[in-house]
Amino acid sequence: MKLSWLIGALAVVAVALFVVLAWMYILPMDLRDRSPVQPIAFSHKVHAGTNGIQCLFCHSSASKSPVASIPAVAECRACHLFIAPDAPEIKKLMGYWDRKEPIPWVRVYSLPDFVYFPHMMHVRAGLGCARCHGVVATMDRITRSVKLKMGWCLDCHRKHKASIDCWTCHI
Amino acid sequence: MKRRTFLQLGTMTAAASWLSGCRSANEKLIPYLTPPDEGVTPGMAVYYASSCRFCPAGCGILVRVSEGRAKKIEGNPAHPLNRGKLCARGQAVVQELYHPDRVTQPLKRSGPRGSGQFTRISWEEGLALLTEQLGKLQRERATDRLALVTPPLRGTLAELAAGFMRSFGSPRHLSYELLGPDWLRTAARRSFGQPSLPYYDIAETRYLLSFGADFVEYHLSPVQYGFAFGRMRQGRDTVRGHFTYVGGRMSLTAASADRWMAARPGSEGMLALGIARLILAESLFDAGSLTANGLRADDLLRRLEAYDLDRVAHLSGLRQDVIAEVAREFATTRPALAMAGEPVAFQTNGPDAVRAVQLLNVLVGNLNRPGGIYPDAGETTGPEDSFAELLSLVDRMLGDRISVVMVHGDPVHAVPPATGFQEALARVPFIASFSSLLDDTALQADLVLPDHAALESWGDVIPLAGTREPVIGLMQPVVTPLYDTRQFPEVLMATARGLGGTMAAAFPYQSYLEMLKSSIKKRVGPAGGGDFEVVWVDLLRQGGLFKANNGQGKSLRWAAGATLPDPGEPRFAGDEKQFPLHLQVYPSTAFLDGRGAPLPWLQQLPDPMTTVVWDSWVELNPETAVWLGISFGDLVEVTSPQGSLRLPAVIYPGIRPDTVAIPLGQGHHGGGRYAKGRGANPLALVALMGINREPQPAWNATMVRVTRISEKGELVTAGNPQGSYRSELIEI
Amino acid sequence: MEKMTSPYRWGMVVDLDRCTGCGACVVACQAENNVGICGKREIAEGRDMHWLRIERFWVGEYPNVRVRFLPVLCQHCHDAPCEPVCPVYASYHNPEGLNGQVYNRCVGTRYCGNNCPYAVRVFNFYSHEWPKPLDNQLSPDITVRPRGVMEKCTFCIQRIRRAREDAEGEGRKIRDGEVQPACAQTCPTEALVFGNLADPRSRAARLSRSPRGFRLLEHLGTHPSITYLKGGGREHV
Repeated sequence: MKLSWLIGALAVVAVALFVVLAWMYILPMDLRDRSPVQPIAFSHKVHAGTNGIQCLFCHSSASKSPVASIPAVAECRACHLFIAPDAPEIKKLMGYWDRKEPIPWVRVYSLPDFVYFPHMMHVRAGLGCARCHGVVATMDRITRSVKLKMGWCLDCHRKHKASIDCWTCHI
Repeated sequence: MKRRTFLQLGTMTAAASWLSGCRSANEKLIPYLTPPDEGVTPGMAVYYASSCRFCPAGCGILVRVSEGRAKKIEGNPAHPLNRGKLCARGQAVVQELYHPDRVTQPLKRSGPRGSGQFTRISWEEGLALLTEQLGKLQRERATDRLALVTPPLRGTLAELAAGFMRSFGSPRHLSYELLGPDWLRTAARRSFGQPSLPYYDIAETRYLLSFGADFVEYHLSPVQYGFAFGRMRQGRDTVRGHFTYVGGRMSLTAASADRWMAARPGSEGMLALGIARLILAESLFDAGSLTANGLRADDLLRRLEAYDLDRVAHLSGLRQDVIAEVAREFATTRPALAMAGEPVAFQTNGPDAVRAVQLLNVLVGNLNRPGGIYPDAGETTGPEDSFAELLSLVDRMLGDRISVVMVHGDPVHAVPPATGFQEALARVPFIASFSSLLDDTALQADLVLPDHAALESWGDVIPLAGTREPVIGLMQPVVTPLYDTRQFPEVLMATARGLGGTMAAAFPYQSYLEMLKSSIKKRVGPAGGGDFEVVWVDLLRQGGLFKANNGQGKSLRWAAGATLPDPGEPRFAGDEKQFPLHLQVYPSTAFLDGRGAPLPWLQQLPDPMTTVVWDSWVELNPETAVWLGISFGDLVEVTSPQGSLRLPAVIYPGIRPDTVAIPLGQGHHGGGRYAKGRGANPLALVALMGINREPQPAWNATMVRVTRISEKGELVTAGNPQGSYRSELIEI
Repeated sequence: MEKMTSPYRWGMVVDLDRCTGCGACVVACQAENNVGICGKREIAEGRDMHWLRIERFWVGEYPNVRVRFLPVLCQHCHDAPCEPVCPVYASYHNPEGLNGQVYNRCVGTRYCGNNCPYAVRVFNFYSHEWPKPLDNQLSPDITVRPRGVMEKCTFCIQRIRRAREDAEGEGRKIRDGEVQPACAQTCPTEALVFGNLADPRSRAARLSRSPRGFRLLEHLGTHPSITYLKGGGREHV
């Protein structure tokens, strides 16, 4: 009786240990929300899909800078002074502008500090934005469509004969 | 594995907190409120042209700015002075901007002077305090009781300060700097009839003879002369310029010399005349140059008779054959160039010694020639005897004839106490400082009105020397000011407005920027064409106003009535028996006169000659050290007739056995966490020497004795971590 | 490792006849590369973080004493002793001839540092602090290395990268002199010359063929990318 209890307990401990170790092995886990709720329900579907606005119209730095950039509040406002100014979400936007506050968008795609990712090099290489960001033109709320793991980067780099030298991305 | 485990545990903790708190791990993506200026791409750095005002050389800089923060300072390739190069100090200026101990708003003293106890006040209160003090002087019709103490100013700042003092009605504006080149101006006035600074064409010379001119570290324009030195050595296909250095201590500059002549301190001028006599006696001089300068060889030779080789060798402690060899090399290699520097000038016979070196240049005919000396294109209006003005101000302060002192800079640290400046300043009832750090002067102040950092300021920077074309460098703010500080000129203008009446009328400008622009507009003249705003933006983008006029119209010529230099034997403070060693104080490569000490990069920069970091030290010849029983790193006491200091000893093979040397720069009471209480200030040892009862800035004429205290000097050096390579192994 | 080719082989020439030992390069390097600020104690323990140091040698005795300066930075050896000893492949050879150090891979065994005959690899024994607002100066182009990571000179890889991006954008190769590490850029005497050694006409390649040239500790067979040029006539005229 006692012995079986002990064996049972040991087995539980062993299993728990195994699970913990296995869990640690796959760490670091990506705990970021894949489709976070944004402060304003901005719809890429409406902008990029229905209205067919080009990505680079708003994310204008993507072709010339490492960062793609998001439009300044003033730029959003410039259009929406005339387009649907009475919609509740646009009122929120105007509220941010009136308070002179930037909109605290939630980042969907983020890379660690030790990774250098230049948007412009990928745009120049002719890679479509959808390749990494998914078909945003169909998304009301942006959902991350890829796992940003190094293996995923390397697969694509190998396929396109891009540099796989460590220092291309890490420094 | 440790780090990995740590990371994993860290992630687990993060995961746990995420699960419990249900807070999103996603970061925020904050957009601009309004789009950035044209030309700014998010994620790309921007370069702004500006000018460096850290030392008087005034190099042009480019500041890399990323996301509104200054990241790196580089030389401006378009600037004719430094051509894209920059010294260690200039690059560290970004740490002045981001120094953690900056004064963030005006301060009013609340404890006793020097205690560092201040109350924070607003600018309105601060300006009101200053205006009240000045207004009181005006009402009492005692306007000459105001003194303004600054380093030598140039350009609009000089204009503004002069205008302020003139309209207030006080002639007591002291422009003093320990290392100011007053001595060069005085010498030039007496030799060439004009107080212009020299421009040495080192790049084109074939034989450089430097009498203590340390152009690699600090002399006049170190970056420009460093650049020229590189060219002199290896910039020409077939010629490698030769370099001989004369001086009792092997400085960083001397370390690059082919020949080092360790002349006895104070003998350099006589050595120069000895060389001159030999050149004349052997008819190696340039006859055309002598005629052009109105000199006669036989006459000169007769008057230099006293400086025969035998005597000069005796006085300088050098070998006769070496002196003769250098004299012949100097005279027969054309072009050859002789320079005089601070260690020579700061002796009791300094002024004439400098002129003796200038005479050498006349003898070999290199005035106004490639590879020789030209008059500098900069302003000739610098002070010629600011030291006398300093002493007269000290007298007035001691006589309680000064009630308010406004100080820009840190004279409490950088003026030798032997002048009585610190003691006199303590008697002044009201001191206002404009320091951006609580430096030694600000600690004594009753009111601190913090200036912007250089990278937050507007301004014009006129290089001290180093160009043959007129240059006005422009300073522009590259970041928005971090704190509630105001630029010194703005404060002067605001004070003038506060005082009203004629004072306010003297400054018709809304802001200092407006004044600066109107001054530049005048300089540009009608040549700038149509819209000045367009020209202005272009100038800012370029870094300043650079004119390609090769100093036409100005030339050097030995003045008709100029007397022959007669250095005479030097005199020293301190009895030879009691104080057997000469003391040389020299500006440290990293800190200059001390202004670099608050910056951690410069503290961490190993001194090139000793590799000491974060400290100050005294240099002793190995022979002297053995004689005194001192070894490397021992704590020693250096005593002069003026005072004594304790600091660690460095055994230094490149110094005369009868000389010890201490770098300037450390020994601050304030100046932020990196400078405070670190090392010692050798100015405390320096005695005041006079010629005919008139005190001279003879900072190197003090004698000292050195005694060992203990072995705990706590000296840290940063040499090769694995011990030195043997030099034959690395083949140099 | 996969075979990778590159039209660039980066190298440097250090002209000791020009070098005055002024230290401008040392500060330039520290400013450019987020190198930690080391206090007195840290340096006393031999844990200085400078990627570039200037060694000074006294030669001879007073009064015939001479000083020689030797700027020592990573030599980017082609047979680098640091590379094969790394257990996690954090230290590797880059197709452009550089010795890479991948900080996010490094686990801090310090084998590479011990194996480097030039002692140019520095280890973060401590976490370095940039008291606010000094941290504003930190460059966003380079990682701030945490405690436990080995770091070293990269020939300012971030600048090379930026130049390559610019060049590729214009569909050309990087021009000679277009990219300079911070040390070479600031050197007042132009003692440091950086360039592409694979291009025989580049300034660095031409200078590296000078008869004055030698390599540091050449007998070890590390084949450095840095050529030093002897100071001409330091002893005699």
